[in-house]
Amino acid sequence: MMEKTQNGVLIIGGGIAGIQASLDLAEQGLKVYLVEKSPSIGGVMAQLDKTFPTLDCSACILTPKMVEVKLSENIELLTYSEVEEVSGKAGDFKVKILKKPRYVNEEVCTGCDICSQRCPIEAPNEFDLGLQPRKAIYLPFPQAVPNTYTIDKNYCIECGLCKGVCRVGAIDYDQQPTILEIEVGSIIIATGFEIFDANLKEEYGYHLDNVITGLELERLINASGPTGGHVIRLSDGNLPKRVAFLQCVGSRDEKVGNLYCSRVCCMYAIKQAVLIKEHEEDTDITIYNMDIRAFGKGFEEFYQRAMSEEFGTKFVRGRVGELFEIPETGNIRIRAENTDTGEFTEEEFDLVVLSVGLIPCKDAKALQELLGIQQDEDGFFTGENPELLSTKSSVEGIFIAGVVEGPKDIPDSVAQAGGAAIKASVVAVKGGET
Amino acid sequence: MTEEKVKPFKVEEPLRIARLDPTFKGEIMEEPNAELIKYCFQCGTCTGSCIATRFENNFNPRRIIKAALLGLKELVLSSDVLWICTLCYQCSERCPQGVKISEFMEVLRHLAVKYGYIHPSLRLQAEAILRSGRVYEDEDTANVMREDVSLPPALSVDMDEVSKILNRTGISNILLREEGDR
Ligand SMILES: Cc1cc2nc3c(=O)[nH]c(=O)nc-3n(C[C@H](O)[C@H](O)[C@H](O)COP(=O)(O)OP(=O)(O)OC[C@H]3O[C@@H](n4cnc5c(N)ncnc54)[C@H](O)[C@@H]3O)c2cc1C
Repeated sequence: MMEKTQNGVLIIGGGIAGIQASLDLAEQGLKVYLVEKSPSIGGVMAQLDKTFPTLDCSACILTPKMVEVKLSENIELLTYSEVEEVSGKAGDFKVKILKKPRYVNEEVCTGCDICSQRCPIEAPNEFDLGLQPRKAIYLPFPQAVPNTYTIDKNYCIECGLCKGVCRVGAIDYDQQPTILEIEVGSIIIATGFEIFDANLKEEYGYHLDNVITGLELERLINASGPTGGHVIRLSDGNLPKRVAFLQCVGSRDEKVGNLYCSRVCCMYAIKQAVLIKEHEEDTDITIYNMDIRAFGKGFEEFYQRAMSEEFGTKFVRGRVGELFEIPETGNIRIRAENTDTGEFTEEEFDLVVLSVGLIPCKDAKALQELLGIQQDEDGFFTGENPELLSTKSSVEGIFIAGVVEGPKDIPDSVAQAGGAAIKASVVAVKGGET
Repeated sequence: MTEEKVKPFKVEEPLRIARLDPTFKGEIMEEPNAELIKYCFQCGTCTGSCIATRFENNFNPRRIIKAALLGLKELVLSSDVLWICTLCYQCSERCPQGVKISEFMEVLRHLAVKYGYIHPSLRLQAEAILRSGRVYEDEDTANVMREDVSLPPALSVDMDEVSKILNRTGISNILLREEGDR
């Protein structure tokens, strides 16, 4: 056999799965290109407050890994970038990557924040799900990697204030998109997920002020979030005394075309119930559910703890029929059957949290077309033998990791990323099948 | 409406398996749209959405489906609660398993009639139609009311035609049979 020059690995998506795969491959000494479309790596895990069932601080686990990516000599981090074209085959992929203009020179920006302080324009903050504004020149969140600002041209008025105050001359309004061409031996897709659009379940009233999603709650309860860690009602800023969680919003629901279980919502709702109790002890919490799926290590114990006297979370077995707002108070009344007793119930709450499910990432279709890999009927990526090789896509040399393969939690995403990294390294080192 | 209480609809426990009719579910599922009840996973969305339940707690669509699937034929078909459903389709609209619950309730009503269980209030109406072709039989009062709003007197009913239709539907036989039974 002829000696082949060793190729690197392309990783698309810089959530926890893509980050872990990058670190594992870099540690093996392989060259890694990590392409992330948003201005920072981190994905959804960066938005979470604590993780179930241990209540570890999400950012405390994630941030060191993000920094490690930035510092690794083997990883070329390409944020605000997208894969444009892929050709070739396993062992020999040719890839075109589009680097979108940030209008800030990545090489010189020090992340000092002076530009953002001067910027007069406010825009919705994606990271905080619009719960507070950011500037038109911004860092998505304080721990962002890279620590480089980005100008949002949808809002920027080119007033020149940021350019005037930048001490290192990093602002460049005329920056152009650039194309980078690379060759890699294998590819890992780790583009993650979106949350289910709660507006599609009209009867659950997401348009109402005091009905929010689980991800919004993660931001509200986070000490560095828009309210400094206070879970408030969006209608009046008061602390809710009675909170309801509605499970399976967009999951296990034929009506919205998602028959699958999203696997994390039971546990994240329980986690959030416990966290709310830890913040405000005298809150009454009810979780309306069809059943609680506490299948992972330590999950059942966590569930029991949430039910115990310590936290006193009430679990009602019954999927909510509908809810409505009481206009005078902004309170929400929930109609549901308690199927354990057969009673029809109508209860009043101050705040309602919709435990929205996970759906395929926005770009799933585009990536499917770009790479020719197979999607399952729900739109997640899959290979020929998912039961044995969940990391393998239907195309030789292309692997999948994290929620892009199907709903899963952080530990499972990390485990799968490790598996995908090994598989990808074999192809990168030995070349594809000949 | 009468003040009479609706009999509670409850699956008695312990269940006596010998009293269950395993063919009942098959009989229901042969009817159009009712075959979907086998997908019911008892989440309670139907009951939680139901306007009728709000006023009559004994009407619980989830329980009726459960009883039907278990084969509690007599309990289901003889129950008053079958006739409480307003057929508003809210449950069918929201069921996460796509069960057509309103349609299923209609199927149960057809089966109930087939097996001779008709709610007394509906039997009175059916008998009136059989007798006079009208639900509201007091023609004179009706005509006074019509005159008040400048409507011509009601047309007379051709009972031959009405009988023909009713015979075709089979309702006359069912009502007669019921009378014989009593
Ligand atoms: C409300 C909520 C609470 C949760 N709580 C917990 C918890 O407590 N514990 C737990 O274990 N799990 C929890 N989860 C699940 C957890 O968020 C996921 O398991 C985890 O984020 C999956 O990581 P990922 O890398 O697969 O995807 P993501 O985090 O979605 O990362 C994907 C990345 O890919 C990028 N990307 C997307 N498309 C492209 C593209 N075309 N090109 C380049 N980049 C792209 C995205 O910008 C993103 O950075 C929770 C989820 C939710 C919604």
